[in-house]
Amino acid sequence: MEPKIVFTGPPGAGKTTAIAAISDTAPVVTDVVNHDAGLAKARTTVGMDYGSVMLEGGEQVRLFGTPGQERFDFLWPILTKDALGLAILIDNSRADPLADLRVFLKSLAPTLSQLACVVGIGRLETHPRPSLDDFSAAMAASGWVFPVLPVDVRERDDVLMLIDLMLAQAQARNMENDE
Amino acid sequence: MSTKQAFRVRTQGLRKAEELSIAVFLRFVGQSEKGRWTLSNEPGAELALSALDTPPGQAQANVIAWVADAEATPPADGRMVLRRPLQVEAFGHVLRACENHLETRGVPVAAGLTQAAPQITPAVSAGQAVSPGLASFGAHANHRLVRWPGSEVLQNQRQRKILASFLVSRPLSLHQLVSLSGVSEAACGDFLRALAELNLLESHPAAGADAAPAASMAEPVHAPPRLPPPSAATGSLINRLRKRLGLS
Repeated sequence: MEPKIVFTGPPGAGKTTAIAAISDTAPVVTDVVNHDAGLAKARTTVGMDYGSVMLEGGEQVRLFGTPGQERFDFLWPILTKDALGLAILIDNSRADPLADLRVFLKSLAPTLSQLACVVGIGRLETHPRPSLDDFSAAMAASGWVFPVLPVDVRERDDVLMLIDLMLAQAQARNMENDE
Repeated sequence: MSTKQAFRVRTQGLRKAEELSIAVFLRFVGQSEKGRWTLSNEPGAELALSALDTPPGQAQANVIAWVADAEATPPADGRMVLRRPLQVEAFGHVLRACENHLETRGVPVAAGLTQAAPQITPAVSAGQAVSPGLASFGAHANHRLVRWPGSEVLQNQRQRKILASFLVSRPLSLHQLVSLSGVSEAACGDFLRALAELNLLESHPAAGADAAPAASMAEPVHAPPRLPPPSAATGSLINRLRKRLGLS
């Protein structure tokens, strides 16, 4: 099975853009015209986005973006199963970003404890509340501890930082116990 | 002292975080074949850890050890010196030296003595006690994050974020953290200490550590995941992906 990294989060959080920031090829997207009046965007992902990073030797790391709308939550655990890591992207300009995060933590709870996971908070510069600390506290309150970082998904370095911290967790999980 | 004794250590003029560290250190090195150490605020303790600016007369213990900043010059009075930041190994050395001293002198334990402390020759030199190589907060424990740290700890430094991420996945010893990160033992120890002082770490004695009870400095988190068997293929993949993305 080829390794994969999954980007999830509510609509508009920037999953497609994040994949495009690091994918070797233009991501394959499954966007359609948005008919959901609750979403302030013209198009939204209804299947999954796909990109890839090619490694030496021809091996690929696949990059998947899940659909963000909650009605597709049945897909989230399927897509994240056996992933190398998961990035949960949150749009801080939405009405209740903490609730958004809780939705994903709850839906993915069965697989989260097996995953290297990071949480990226977007649009913090224009919407500073809730703060990063608020997100950390909310996760700790429900027993989860994951890196929480500000992210501008248009910036490759920001996305790479998410990947960096994701891989650090994967590396720690993978180390010999008696090392 | 053929039977186990009850030793008491008190602190004088230490910072709150240091008092917390001492309490935690006692979980790891507070027991020996000679006895068990507990914290006490009463006069007559067997050992007083006294900040350098505390008048010695106030320490009221059989043995006084100074607690001094790394660059400070303690009085040349022969007393042991525990350098800041406090190190668990150095603290353990002080306890053992104090036990030996009490045994040698035949000082009754828990006798409530209040006379000025005798001077003793340290079992370890001041240099050993302060060695940066022992910047090993919790070297005998495994540590795990219980909450992602704030900017006061991370200081927007990639290295610190990476160190914190390692501690997210599983409990790690200081040496495992050093091995994973390639960061110096001193820097890793400092980072662990900073996390502990903010109650962001859950620490448990490592297998074989000389301490029975676990030391938890914060509320427990989800039980650590059952780890998949280590995989060389995955390790190689991570390294290649890092290299490919310019992260190594």
